[in-house]
Amino acid sequence: MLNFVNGAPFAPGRARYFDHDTDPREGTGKIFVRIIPQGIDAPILAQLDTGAAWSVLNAEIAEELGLLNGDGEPTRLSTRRGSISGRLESATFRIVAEEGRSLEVEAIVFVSPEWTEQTFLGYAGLLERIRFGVDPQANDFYFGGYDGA
Amino acid sequence: MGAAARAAASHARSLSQMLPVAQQEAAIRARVLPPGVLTIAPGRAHFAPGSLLASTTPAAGDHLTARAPVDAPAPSTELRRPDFVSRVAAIRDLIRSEQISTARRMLGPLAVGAFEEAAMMRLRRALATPIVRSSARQDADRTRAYEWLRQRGHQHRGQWVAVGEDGLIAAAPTLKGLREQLRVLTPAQQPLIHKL
Repeated sequence: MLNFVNGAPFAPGRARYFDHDTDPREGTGKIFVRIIPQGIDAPILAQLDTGAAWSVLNAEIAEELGLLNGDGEPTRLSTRRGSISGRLESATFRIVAEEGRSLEVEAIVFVSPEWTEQTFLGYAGLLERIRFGVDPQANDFYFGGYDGA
Repeated sequence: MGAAARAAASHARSLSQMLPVAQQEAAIRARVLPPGVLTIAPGRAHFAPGSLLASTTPAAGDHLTARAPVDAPAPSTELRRPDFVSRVAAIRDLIRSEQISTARRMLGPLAVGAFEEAAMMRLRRALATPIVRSSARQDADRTRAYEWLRQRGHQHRGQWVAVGEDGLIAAAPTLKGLREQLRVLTPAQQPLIHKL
């Protein structure tokens, strides 16, 4: 898919991303990629946010996955809606490819009953182990793990 | 960051060179791609003729698809309980202030089983790096579902929607309600789910 010149894979998966935020308060395009959380088994859209310290699951998704009553590390997260309390929990999901290889990720995510906004994919516990590139003309998201994953 | 966290972070920096996870991160981040390194297979069109990506071809010995655990040295009696409690508090401060790498470095040298085992397990789990595996399972082209969301999504603001290639399949105010509808409707293909 996306390779180094020597042929080694950089990002063996590709999927079209959605770039339109239906929230009228948001004036700029976003990158929503598709993930399939284990336990929901249907693709949902999650916003890519390399500036976010952690991935944050929408509270209803977290509830469906049974993560709101977990025993993960309690902490607080600073968000655009202010500081919210929650926990850092393990979650497994697939970043889905339309072409090439998908990625199964056992990630660490922040969950909180207070977070009713979109699901975000952040750096620590997730993106830090994923290679990715974006083609904004084609709305293509290229991605892969290390060692050819 | 609190004073305790600052002091402990300084100490952690001096310890960081001991830690494989820190070495891995440093090794990964230090490498800079030379120009012209990425191509799009199979046509070999240039995707990024020049790049400052902080990565390159995996070096022999890289095993970064596996969760790189925050190191857990053998139990030690050298750290006294007040020091331990202070260190754990500092790590939590660092997590709250989003200084994850520093928190990992500080957690690494703390012995498992010394004190507060449950708290230590939670911290180690929270600060573990992700496990990533390749999968052959693919999703369908969702271009038409995206188009529906773009054109019609505003009509369902605040709702959860399930969208197939022929448009809206179901909408509900809650995800639970939407999934209940989908269990009854049993669409041939898993629809795309989104909260508008």
